[in-house]
Amino acid sequence: MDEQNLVEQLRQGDRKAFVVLVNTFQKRLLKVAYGITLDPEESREIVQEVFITVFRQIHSFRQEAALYTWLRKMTVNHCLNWKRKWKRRFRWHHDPIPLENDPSLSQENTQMQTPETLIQKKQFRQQLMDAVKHLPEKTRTVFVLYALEELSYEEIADFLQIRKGTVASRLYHARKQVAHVLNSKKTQEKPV
Amino acid sequence: MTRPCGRYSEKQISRFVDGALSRQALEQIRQHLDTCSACRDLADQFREVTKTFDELAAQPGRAIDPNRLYRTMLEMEEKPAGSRTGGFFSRRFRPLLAAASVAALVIIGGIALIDNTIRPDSPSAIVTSIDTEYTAVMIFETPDTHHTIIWYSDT
Repeated sequence: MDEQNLVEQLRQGDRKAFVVLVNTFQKRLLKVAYGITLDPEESREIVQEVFITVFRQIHSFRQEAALYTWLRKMTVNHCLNWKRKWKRRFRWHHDPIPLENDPSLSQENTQMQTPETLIQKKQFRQQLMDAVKHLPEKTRTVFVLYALEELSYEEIADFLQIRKGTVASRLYHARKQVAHVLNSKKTQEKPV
Repeated sequence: MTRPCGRYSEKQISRFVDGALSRQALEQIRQHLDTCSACRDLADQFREVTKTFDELAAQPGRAIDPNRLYRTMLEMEEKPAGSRTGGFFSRRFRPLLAAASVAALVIIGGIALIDNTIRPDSPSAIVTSIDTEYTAVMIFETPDTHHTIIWYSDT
């Protein structure tokens, strides 16, 4: 189903079109939402809200840009509002209790890695995500649009209504902060 | 993080990585990187940051079931506003739920006064949470002492 067709079917409230919409775009949108919120459950909730909103408001979609561009815009806006809810603010400041059956560990286990490697990987992931988490929200959003969505400076500037110089500056600060984590990992790995 | 040699700033190297400089500047830095290992390392680190974050953000989570979401959406549309919350969290039970939550907080507070092993500054984590149109209930637990705290709020 091409995009024009998909939009037409969505306008008619077609269930199959909704399924196609979700299946086509959920992976990319979940990644963007996770990049900004760093919470898989919140990201899922946000993206679900976006799909429902799009389905209800498809009549207002004028097709001046691609459907995905509209979906992404809505996802980023939802993500930037996500911390307004007190429960989300709480989650943001508190770490979840680690699960005994951590799915990420069990999945990696199938690849025959030692427990030590798994723990190191998990720690590294945690450190890197912590570094990203401590970036100011506006900086993180620019970083996500660049790193995950591969948007150009012009596209990011246009998307967030900021200057290109601001995009460059925020990207630089994001990289600098995250590079520290990568660097400290490499220092730790060097044989004594 | 590797420091550049001083000829170019970190910010310029960052822009170089993105190709966000004039063609002439890009070419000059490219030539410089051929001979300067410090600036080359920094550029590599900046590229790696983007790549690693992209990989980590793509960790598989629970996928959205489109059919289930469609059903949920229809259910939301079918129920008139004001009657979407049913069962224990309906308007009828709200005062009872609020009173129960306050009582739970009082009991937990009382235990906290007696039991000095509870540290109020301990980090907590959400065990579960329930959001409805009118209320939000969150149950969280202190990781060390495993005390359960119930939090109730009108939304």
